[in-house]
Amino acid sequence: METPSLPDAVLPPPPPAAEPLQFTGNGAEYFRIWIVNLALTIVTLGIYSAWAKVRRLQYFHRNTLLAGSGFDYHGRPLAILKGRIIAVVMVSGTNFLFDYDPEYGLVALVAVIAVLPWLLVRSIAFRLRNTSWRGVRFDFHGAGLQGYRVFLVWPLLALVSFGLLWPSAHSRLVSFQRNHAAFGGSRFSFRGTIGDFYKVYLLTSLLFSVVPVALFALVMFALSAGASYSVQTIMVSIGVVCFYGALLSGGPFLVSRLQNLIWNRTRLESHEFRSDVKFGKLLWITLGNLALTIITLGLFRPFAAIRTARYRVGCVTLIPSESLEGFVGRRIEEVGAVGEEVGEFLDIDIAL
Amino acid sequence: MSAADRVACDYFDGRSSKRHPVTLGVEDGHAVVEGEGVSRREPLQAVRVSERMGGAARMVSFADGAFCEVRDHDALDALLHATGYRDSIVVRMQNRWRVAAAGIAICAALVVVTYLFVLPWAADQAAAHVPASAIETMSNRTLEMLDEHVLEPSKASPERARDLAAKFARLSTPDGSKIAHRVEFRSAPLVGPNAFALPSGTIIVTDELLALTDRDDEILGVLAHELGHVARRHGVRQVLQSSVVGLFVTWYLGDVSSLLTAVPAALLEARYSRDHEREADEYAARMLRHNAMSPELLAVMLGRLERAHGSGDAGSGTDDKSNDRGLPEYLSTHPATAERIEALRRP
Repeated sequence: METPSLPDAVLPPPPPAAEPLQFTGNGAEYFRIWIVNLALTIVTLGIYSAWAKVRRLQYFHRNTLLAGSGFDYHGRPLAILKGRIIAVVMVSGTNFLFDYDPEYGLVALVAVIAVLPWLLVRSIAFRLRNTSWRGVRFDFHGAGLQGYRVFLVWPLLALVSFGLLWPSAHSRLVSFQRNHAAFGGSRFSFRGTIGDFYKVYLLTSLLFSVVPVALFALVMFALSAGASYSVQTIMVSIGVVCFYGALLSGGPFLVSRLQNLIWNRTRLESHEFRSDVKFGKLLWITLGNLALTIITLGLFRPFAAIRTARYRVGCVTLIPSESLEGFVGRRIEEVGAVGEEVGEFLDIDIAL
Repeated sequence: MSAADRVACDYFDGRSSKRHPVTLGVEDGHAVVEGEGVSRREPLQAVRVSERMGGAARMVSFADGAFCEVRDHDALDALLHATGYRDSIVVRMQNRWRVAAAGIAICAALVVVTYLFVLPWAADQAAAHVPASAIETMSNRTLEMLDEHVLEPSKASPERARDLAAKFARLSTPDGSKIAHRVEFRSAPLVGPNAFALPSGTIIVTDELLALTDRDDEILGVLAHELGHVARRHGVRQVLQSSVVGLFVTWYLGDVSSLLTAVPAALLEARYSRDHEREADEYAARMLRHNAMSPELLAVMLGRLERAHGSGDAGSGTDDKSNDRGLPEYLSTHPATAERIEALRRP
């Protein structure tokens, strides 16, 4: 029997529903993975750390779900181990040369700085090309040379301007990362402006350094003006609370605003993203994590990582413009892990 | 194999993001995937299964990049079990709380060994490589700061001061090496009876300490203790150890605030200064004996200092202005004075 063609079949299909990202990791589960792999790393004098890293990333990727399917991480432990060894040789070699002769050391340091931007670009590529969703790999098209502008020139400008140019540098870094990223054959794009970044950073510094300093000045003024003892006590208490509060909450505030800014301005072809991280919620999680990590002598750390990931991942929603079934993968060229490992060794965090 | 033994899962072809709901089963040594538009049969040797990782999905992948994403763990386990598949040893360890407890023990052992032995040893090695000019600059700055805020010019008799410094200079060190040092005198009403050494070898003695005794030999005992700090590079080691401990604690707790992290770091560093006091006492005892003097001189002086500070466990006249009374031994920066006196009296 032939299906009669319904009149509404010619209408465009309704836009697919928003797809919130979901994180299904669990603290107790991750704790056991973390501690076993940490112990194995210790027992093998650090060699196992490459395998531990792959497990950690796999755990977080596979527990991040979009439209019912998990992400996956494909980095190979041996590639990571090789990268780690080269990173250690590079950094300790430079240190050794400094001990041997400061002039050689300086030459080595300049050489390391000169290759660093290129390595960091490779690091982004390594991370993305080894990440997949539904079997389709992410990709990165940024060329090594372009990395010099965002990883060397702009950070240096930010440094010599005493941080005044940092929001601009950060904006360029995010644009570079996002505009060259792809999922299969589909390109990501970033529409955030330098002004957006300045707004976030200005607000953060206003709320969390200018205001406390002003309060501190007020307190000092009250003290010197010879206010009554009880007024002084109240003023000092307010000052102390504000000072500590600002110090503790500045980080979560910046993190929440930046995540929202970056994801709300990111697109994958015509798919859009929404991020709605609430500062208060993130602050509560961060403070709780800090307190519990201290109380448990550090053992809470894996639970803290899960708690933070659950909240931050859960705040992101994909607004599809069409079905998510149509992404097509491309052949991906393998990248070495040296960049990733040098970056990690020097504690340069370019993830987001 | 019956349909009941088949596992419901999602199949992806490795090229597109299209999801195919399928069932996965095993039939005569082959993995079989069946679903709408999908029908695959691959020998088991050509199939790879990702390890069990808590509740996360497991991937059953084929050589061409296609895979099944499986969330029904019990069903998959049963299927795998039938094929003779066994989880790797690490995966089995990750599932056991008892192994996790062993893991905690290993990590704790590493932290304790590092803290008690590795870090002090490394700081000792590194201290020898800190350039003398850096130590000199650091020490001079400290003394300038102290002179500005805490110390005042000495009002003690210059003759006695000169005499003391000369007597101390005539003593030889236990190993006979020459240790560059300079004895300085200051009045310090805020600090009280005290003596302390800067890493450069400058030893400061307060007028209040001189006033505690008429016997110069007892002062020499205290000076020997301070020279011990200089000889063993305690100042520089303390700075190095504190920086490493501080950096580690800050890194581990995340970047939030150096204020909260300062407390655990300070507690951890307290032990190092107690060890340094003991080392300096031992050095002083050896130095005094080496010069045919008795370690009792320092012991007597410690007793006087304790009484002068009017507490059961004062800063004991060496380095410390704090009053540690009432703190348990493991929290205090100085070993209990009684314990130190007893150690000095041991033959």
